[in-house]
Amino acid sequence: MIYDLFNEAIKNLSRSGIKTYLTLLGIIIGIAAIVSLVSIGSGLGMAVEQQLDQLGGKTIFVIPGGFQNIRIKLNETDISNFESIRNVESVVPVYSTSAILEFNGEKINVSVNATDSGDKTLFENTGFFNVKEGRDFTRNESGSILLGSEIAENYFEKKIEIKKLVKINGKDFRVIGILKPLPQSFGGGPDPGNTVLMSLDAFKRISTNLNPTIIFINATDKESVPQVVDDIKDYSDKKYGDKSVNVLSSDNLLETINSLLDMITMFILSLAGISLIVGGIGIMNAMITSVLERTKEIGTLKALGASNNKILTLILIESALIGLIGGIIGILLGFGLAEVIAIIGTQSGFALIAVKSYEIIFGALAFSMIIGMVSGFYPASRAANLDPVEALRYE
Amino acid sequence: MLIKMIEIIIQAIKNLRREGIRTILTLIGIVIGIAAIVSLISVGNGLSLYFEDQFESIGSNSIFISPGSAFGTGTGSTIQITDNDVSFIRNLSRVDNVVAEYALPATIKFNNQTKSILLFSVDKEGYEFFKDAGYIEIIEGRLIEQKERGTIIINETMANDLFDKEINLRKQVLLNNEIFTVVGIFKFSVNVPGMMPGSGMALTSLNGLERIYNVTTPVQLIVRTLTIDDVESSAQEIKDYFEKKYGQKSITVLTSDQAIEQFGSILSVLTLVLAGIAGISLVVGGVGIMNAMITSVLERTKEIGTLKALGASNNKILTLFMLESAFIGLLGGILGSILGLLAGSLISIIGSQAGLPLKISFSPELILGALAFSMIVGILSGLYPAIKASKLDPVEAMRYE
Repeated sequence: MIYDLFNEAIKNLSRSGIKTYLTLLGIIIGIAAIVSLVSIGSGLGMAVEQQLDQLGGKTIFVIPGGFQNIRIKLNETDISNFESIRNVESVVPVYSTSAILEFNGEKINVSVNATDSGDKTLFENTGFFNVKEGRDFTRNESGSILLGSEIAENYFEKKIEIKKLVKINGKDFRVIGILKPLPQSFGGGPDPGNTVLMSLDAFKRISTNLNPTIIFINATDKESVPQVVDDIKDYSDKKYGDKSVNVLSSDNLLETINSLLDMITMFILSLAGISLIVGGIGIMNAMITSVLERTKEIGTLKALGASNNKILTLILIESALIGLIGGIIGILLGFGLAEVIAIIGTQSGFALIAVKSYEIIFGALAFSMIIGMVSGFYPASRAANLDPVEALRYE
Repeated sequence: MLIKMIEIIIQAIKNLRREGIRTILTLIGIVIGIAAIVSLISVGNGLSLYFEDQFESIGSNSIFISPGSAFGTGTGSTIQITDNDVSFIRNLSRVDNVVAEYALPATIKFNNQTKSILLFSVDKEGYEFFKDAGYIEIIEGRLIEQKERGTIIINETMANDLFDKEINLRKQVLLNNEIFTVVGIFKFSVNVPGMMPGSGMALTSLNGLERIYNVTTPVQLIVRTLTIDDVESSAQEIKDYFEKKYGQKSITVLTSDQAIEQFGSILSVLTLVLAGIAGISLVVGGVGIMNAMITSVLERTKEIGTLKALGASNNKILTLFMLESAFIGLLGGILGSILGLLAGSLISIIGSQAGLPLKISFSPELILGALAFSMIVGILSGLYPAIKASKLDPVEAMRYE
């Protein structure tokens, strides 16, 4: 029986031709806008997640509070106290200063970071600084530096290549590698694409400032990260005051970034969602017209014994179908649009990914069908409650 | 001609009223879209007006200087502005005065609790100006004197919310283990750029600051030139000086005008993007108009045939239908603007209660723009149905069932 009603509904819709298409178009536009926004929005979250996954989930960032170069000063004692915390494998402080980088006659101010690379690779040690070209420096190499890709490629009129000699605060250094930038900059972390990185021995040639600006602490395993985070917080809160030191693990970093992204996505979605409401009104309007036009027909159906319920169901199926079809086309269009945005975005340097998940598809379909049914309800009940005698007489 | 036009308009309105609920629904579609756009833009404009006010209250002969390149370096290190740098600027011929702002994180102990706050200060020469310019408003107690070494004034948040117990006047607190006495409670009357309101903040004299930090370096300099005409040239002189000494990208030099411009352009891009997203609904509303007009043309086929048979020209039929859809657009625009301004006011009331500087601005341009836009949407959507109506063959049309 439902099947018959279904068939009837499709016939009625195709009979209305252009009017049905226009109503559909309204829903398609709304759903496409929402789907593309959600797709890009969750892609942003995913890019961050991928980045954090690379850290293996074992690295904790400790960033002294304050801003720019004016921060709480952590010292050697703090570092050795961090080392003695249970389940801490290694503590890697990063020191930094601002310096003049000179190349090809141009002088540009840059931020210089220094770290003890130890026996492991830089990336194993910090999970943050990753060499994309060239090689790591070793512990006692005091004349070698790594350049952030942004500095190497865009700061100077001429690109700085590997093996080139540059001057930092007047001292000679050789570029041995290029650092990979992060697709998203982390809350408060240094930007590896925009920094010069060197060994501690090299750093001592240009600066005497040995207060860490960030400390990477590696836990022995993923499970002990929350305990280590708590212990570091307890220690620094007691010594320097509440929230004086930011302690971030990949998990809580992800949480913070995701909750921020979710908020932005929700806000933009609600703006785009306005168009769906307008589309829903369009469905209601189309169904009202359709009921009016078919008054006589509905009267006949009722006179032939069709129940109120059957008429209600018929009209509801029609409007739900408009919603559903609009949803399907809208999803396809939305994903296509998201793909285009992602491609354009990637070309202009943003890490955008168009995520296509079942959640988005089902969510959009459910949503568009609900819009269809809610909008169809008033016209459907109007049709169902028509008096057959009056309806048959209607001109 | 005019009378004819009025006749057509009256006819158009009559036709719309005949459609009843369907016209109302079509209207609602436009009203929602316009309301969303108008409320967003009015709040956005209000916000940029607020920033303009803030900068203007500091004075348009101001130059803001902060270390580092404009787009932030994260935790990356920046140069430290030295006393020599400040005196170089003070000695520039067209510079009137320089306020050097210092801000440092500090640990505060009170009532057996330890918290972290931002401690800030201005240097001796900047003090008088800072006091006179009305940056801060003393709610209770008094301002610190520049020669005092052991006094602070604290912001409302710190006095009332930071600790379990309120901090009252004349209480003693430990800042990085040094004793300071609270002599006043203040709030910012304008947001000094570079100093974020919010959490706990205390202001002390530079002498006080030097008790707990050996080396200090300003986070920002506010330079005031003798006349407005000196701003550009002084800004350039300062920029050249720093770039020669520390390299390019070492300093950010912003004049009031540039700061307003930067804020303004970021805000207007943001507002436009958001309004654009909300504007999608207007396209959907336009589709709704088109649909309603097509329905209307279909239903009135016989009537159109009769009109044509009685001598109405194609043009007249076209005008009649275009007027109808333009009218829906216009009416939707009027109602939408009213609703949008109401929604904007509501947002700003809620926002200001939550402490955000949201004011809405009712500009005639916005309303006129919204009306023009909604009418254009109406006319464009009505074009296809109107052409379809005007091209009907009268004989066929009269025979239409």
